[in-house]
Amino acid sequence: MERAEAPGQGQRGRVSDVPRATERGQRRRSESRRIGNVVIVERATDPLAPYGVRKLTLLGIAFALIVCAALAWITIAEFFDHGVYTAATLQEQVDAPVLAVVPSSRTAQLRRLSRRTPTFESIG
Amino acid sequence: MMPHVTTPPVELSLEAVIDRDTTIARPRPLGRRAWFETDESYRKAALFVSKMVAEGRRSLLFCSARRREGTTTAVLSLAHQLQDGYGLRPLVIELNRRKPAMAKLFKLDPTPTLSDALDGVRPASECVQTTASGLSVIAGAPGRAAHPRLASGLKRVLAEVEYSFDVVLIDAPPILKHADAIIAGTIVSRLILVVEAGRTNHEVLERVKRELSPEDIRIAGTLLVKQKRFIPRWIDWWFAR
Repeated sequence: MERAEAPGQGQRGRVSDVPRATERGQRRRSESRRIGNVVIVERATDPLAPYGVRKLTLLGIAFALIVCAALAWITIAEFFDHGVYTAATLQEQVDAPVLAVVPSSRTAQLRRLSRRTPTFESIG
Repeated sequence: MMPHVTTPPVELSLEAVIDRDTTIARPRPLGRRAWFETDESYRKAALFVSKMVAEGRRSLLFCSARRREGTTTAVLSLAHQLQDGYGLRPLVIELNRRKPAMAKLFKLDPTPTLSDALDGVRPASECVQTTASGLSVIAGAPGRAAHPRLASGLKRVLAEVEYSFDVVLIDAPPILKHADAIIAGTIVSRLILVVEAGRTNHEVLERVKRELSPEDIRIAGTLLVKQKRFIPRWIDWWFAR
């Protein structure tokens, strides 16, 4: 079934069909040429493991570093600390007997002594 | 219904009443382990001092190398232990003129001080005050200037009080800060050095020894105070089993 053409329309269409077809062909050729230079090197795959160092390893390294730093700190502090801590050291240093070793008390000892109540021995 | 039972009144002897009242009045640590340990340590030191008293050495000089090591606390605790545990009559003389603490601490009369006794303004026996706990004390006088006749004055004061008291404990200022301790050391040649654990170091102790040696002052003993516990008690207990 042929489509009825409007008068004067068929002639104009025929004349303009040639450049349009050429243009289309050229575009197709150029597109095929452009696509042709792309090569798939490797197909994308899902990663098996996350990129970088594992968290556990990082934590382990950090812990080891902290331990090393703490040991270094203790060594340096111990090297420079000449304080007297024990009765044996004090006796050796002063060459006198240590009468008593009094433990540290959190409460103020002096204030406690001032509030001390009189005993029977002190009264009589 | 329960029958009403009346308990007969218990007749207490005089000794029992005294013993009961003494037990009430005596300060007990009551579960405070630190206090208990502190008291026990001072009891040990008091034993040593009581032996010295028995040998005839009746005055002792207490001092530390530097300030705030706990000399006053040590002297007062020791005096209490000598009084309560050994039945001695101690007298505490506060020689510290820079920061005298006893008058304020025990709310004593600030007028009769050691300075009066040293100057001869009052007899030493009049300067002795008794604290609420029954301890005899000669409080120090605040003042920046050094006492001009400290040695002779102290000698006279000691001679005055030694018949009234069994033992005289002198709370002296730090050796490395003031010369008063050295001057007093020439009169009272037996010195007890109070050492704060961890704070006082070898160099300081060497300096103290160097300061004392020209005056021929002998360190009769030391007290290691404020010793901190680094290892928990339960570990000690575990290994001591």
